[in-house]
Amino acid sequence: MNSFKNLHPGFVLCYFVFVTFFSVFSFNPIYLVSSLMGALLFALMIQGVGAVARSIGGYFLVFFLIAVTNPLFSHNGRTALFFINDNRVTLEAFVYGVVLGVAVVSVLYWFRCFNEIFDSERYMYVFGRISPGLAVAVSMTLRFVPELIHNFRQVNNAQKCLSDNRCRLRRYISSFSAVISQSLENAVITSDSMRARGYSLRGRTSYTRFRFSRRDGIVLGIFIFLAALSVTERHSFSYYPDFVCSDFSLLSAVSCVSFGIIVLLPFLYEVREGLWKFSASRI
Amino acid sequence: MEIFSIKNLSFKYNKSDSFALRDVNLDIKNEEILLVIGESGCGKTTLLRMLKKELMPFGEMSGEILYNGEDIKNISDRTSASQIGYIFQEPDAQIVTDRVSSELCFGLESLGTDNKTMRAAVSEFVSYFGLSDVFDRKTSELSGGQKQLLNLASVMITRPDVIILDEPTAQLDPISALDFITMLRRINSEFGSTIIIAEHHLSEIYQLADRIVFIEKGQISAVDSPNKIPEKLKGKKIERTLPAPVRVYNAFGFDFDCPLNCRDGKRMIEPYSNSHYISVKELNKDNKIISAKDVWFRYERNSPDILRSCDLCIYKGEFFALLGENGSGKTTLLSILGGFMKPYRGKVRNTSNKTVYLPQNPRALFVKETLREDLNLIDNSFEELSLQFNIFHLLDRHPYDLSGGELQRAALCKLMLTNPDVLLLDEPTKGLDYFANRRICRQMWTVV
Repeated sequence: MNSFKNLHPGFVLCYFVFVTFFSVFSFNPIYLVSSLMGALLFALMIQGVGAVARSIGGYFLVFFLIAVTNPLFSHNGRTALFFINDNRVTLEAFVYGVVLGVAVVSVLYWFRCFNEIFDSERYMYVFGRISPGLAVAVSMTLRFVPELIHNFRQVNNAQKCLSDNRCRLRRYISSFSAVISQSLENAVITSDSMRARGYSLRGRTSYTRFRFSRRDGIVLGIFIFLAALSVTERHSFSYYPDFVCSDFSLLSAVSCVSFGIIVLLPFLYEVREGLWKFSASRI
Repeated sequence: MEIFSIKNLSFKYNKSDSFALRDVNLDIKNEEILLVIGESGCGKTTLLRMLKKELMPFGEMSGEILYNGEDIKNISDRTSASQIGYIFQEPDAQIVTDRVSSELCFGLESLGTDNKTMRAAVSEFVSYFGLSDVFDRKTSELSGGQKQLLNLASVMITRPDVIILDEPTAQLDPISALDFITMLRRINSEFGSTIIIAEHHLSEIYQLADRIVFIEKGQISAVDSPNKIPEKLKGKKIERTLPAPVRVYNAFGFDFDCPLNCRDGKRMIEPYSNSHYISVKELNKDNKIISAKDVWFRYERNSPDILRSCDLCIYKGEFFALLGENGSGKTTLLSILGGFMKPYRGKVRNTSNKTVYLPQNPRALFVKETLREDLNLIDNSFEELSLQFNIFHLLDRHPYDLSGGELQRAALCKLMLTNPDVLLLDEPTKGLDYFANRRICRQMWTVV
């Protein structure tokens, strides 16, 4: 249940950026709730019920903290609910806190999905597009750190059987310095190997297995169309000093609906792919 | 047609008084396999590095090296990067990136190849080198043999005319080394690439070489085909590193063409072997020092068993060799015998007072700036023992500056300082040339 992952990483990145930014900066309960629902559905799809159910407690705690602390610190708003130490606790601030909580939790869920989908190969694609040199640097770092840890364990184990085990810190320090000089030694060979394969040449490219297919094009087209619709007349909502909700026009209603479709896009895509697979299975 | 021609080449490293290479004259033909042999430090690596522009060592150079008729210093960076491939000894350190896929493409990316061409080249070379199973993996997950194959593949992917290899199988186990050499032979016969290779372990590569160059103290002292060169090496130290059939031939001077492989060797000695026998010394099986009974081991709860119902008995004064393929559990068993890991079932009895362990990478034993400080950590009466291990002159060197054999001897010396009853050695001869190997073995015998 993860067909969305197979779309082009460029599109996937755009999608996540748009969804998170739009839902946060609109600060409108309609957009936020639909964004949260979309994110939850997406997470359910790619991680399964168990993993999402286990995560809900933690996210609820985040939500609860934000919803409670906001009215304690912000005393704006017209409708006072009660007083603590002569400070007004207002309905507006409370609602604002709830909305803020929903915004944060929905962004967390989007990130959760993003993390699941955007693996290191996709990151490397993005870095490679920005600069092929950067991609190499990132890739080398990704290799260096686990290697360092691995070597450290090796040295440390060998030291364990040699020295007395009473002073663990001293052993760690000496093992660490040994590992560092070992890495420097290896770095000389690595740089030779890079030069030997033409690292210093100009006009480096970056290998990728991702191709922008027709399918990506269609999905991207639909996405841009919906995104344009939802941006043209955003429905607005303000909290202080009083709730003010702009009137629904035809366009702003369209905006809400198209944003709703956008957040459901991974789900809809999955359904479509599923149907296609279903039809394929009949062959 | 010569791909390289080296004329009167002499080379001296900066800050060195003696020549690393002296008056080297050599023509390397297109499409040949040229094997370079010689003791450690004879100038093999220097010679190979001189053939790759990017890796030329710094120092005083005279004479000239022509690549396809052009001075090697004048060929463009692009030509050198794409046409001359270079493979180093260390499988690990020459890998640059974290993923097999990106490592494979590194050379093509440098040359600015477009994605479509790269994809075609990748799919071709991945299947050619049998790397399709590991293509999506991280480079750190590969075995040493796979790493070296990956290095070969990522050099071959730019379709170089020449591949230069500096002891590529030194760090590999014999099976992976054989795979690697077999792959080289295929590359040579199917792509027609020229192969220039320096090696210590000659048993596999020897019979494949078209010509063999023997370097002695920076000078070429013999160049000839594999079946002619043995006579020129008679009486030299290097003679002892030749493959067994060649050695037998050289020692006894049979009336036969020099055999290059076991089949021909067998034919050669058949008439003699019926009347000669080898005797083996019996072992005194009185004192058990380590015994393992029905040992089961796995690294994690859900991982597969590494050892299954393993029984083993080692007697005092015994020289016990543990043989097995890579990944068969040799290192694991050693660690269990040494008591560093506990089996989840079965018993290990170790009646020795002190058991020490030499890890595969002996560097892991050294943590100080000089060997002297390091040995001093254990015991300050190290000088006598260091004389015995022939490392006295190295005491003030940094442990990492030692050669493989020296480091191994130093490691053994450090372990012996702790006065052990049992010495567990994890592949102590890996990566050593024949002579260092012999010295370690002899050293181990004296210990026993």
